[in-house]
Amino acid sequence: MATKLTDEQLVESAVSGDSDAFGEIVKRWERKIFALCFGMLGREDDARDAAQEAFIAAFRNIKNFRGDAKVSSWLHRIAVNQCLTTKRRTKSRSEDYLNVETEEESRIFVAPAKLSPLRTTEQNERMTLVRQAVTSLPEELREVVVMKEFEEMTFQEISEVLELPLSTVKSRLYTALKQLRRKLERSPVEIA
Amino acid sequence: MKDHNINNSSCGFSGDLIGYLYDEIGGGERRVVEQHLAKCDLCSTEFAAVSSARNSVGEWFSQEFVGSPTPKFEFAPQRQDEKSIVWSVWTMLSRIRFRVPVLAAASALVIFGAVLFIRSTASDTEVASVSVPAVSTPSDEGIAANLGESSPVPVQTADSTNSIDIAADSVEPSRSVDVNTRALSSRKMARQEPKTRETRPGERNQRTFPSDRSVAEGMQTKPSLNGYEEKEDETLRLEDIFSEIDAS
Repeated sequence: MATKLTDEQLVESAVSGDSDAFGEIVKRWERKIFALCFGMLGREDDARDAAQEAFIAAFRNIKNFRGDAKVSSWLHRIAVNQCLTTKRRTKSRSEDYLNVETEEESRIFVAPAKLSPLRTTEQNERMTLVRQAVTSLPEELREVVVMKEFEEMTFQEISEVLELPLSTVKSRLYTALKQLRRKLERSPVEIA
Repeated sequence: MKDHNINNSSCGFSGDLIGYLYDEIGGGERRVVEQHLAKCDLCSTEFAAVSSARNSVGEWFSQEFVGSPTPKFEFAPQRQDEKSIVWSVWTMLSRIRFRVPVLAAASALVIFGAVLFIRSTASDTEVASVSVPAVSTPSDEGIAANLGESSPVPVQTADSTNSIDIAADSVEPSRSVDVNTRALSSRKMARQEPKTRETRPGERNQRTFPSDRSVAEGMQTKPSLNGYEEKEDETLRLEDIFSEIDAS
């Protein structure tokens, strides 16, 4: 029954004390919020923690939801803020792990079986470079790239979440992609 | 002919290029962009660059994220109140920049407690280590035995510090005539008896002192260090001999 309700109706139910309604909201948006956090932070474990904190924060502040914005926009805004908080909190640590690829990061990528070991190594290095390039973008550019590429949000949705004009969103994304290209061109590994 | 001299930033196509890249552009605008790209090398080069960057990001996303499962997120409404109290206190403290002083005070408290614990443990160990067997003097024992009275026998207990004084008073160096190494070793063994041994009120200490044996068995005693009357080890040997004779 809850699946037929809109996000806004579910929030109303959650405000009135129905915790299952908020659980349904979490179920609907957990993948996208997780993807957003992954793109913003660049690490799966950090993304998991940040998304978890974001949902907890949303549940705590659900009574403050005004209803003048979409629930998805509200959740994304909370998640972005949580990611920025996590990023600041782990700033020194992130600088370390971006420079040194850990074993865990190596396990994340599972190459297709038909790739040769050399090809697999090159691909791993390339993915590491892309991750470093994305996570080293300024925050205002990175969030736009992640929302667009990881969550496949439209420009209009991004502008609503970030409360920015549509033209600003487009220009930020364009600038972000150009900076990414420059960062990747400087890297020794050829980018496909 | 292509517009080679048109700077991309002055083209004003960046917004349309990005819309064209993500296919969020109207049909009319799409045709305009395509026509421009066909004649502007700079814009087409830039478009290829941002398109390549987009592909790289998409590849990274598909390689490292798409395969990873979505974690199970919980918001724990039951534990919300418990956590919120602690969390609100901590947040309040951190807001007023009390975090460092609080951590320092907590650390100091922990260290102070640890020092107190170590000191108390060390003092217990010290008391236990200096507790020597409280023994009665031969003179007291002899007098008590002769009078047929039960003299108060000093008892060694773990927390008894009086025994030190009693033992110290009972030392009579001038009477130390002979130092028997076996007697010393037996005294060492007496010291190694459990410290926690307690004597019930009215119960006589079970330790057998040389004076007791000498009185009871009439064996030859001789004064030794600290005035104790030590039993000759020959007693044991005679008993062994007698037992062997009886057995034969």
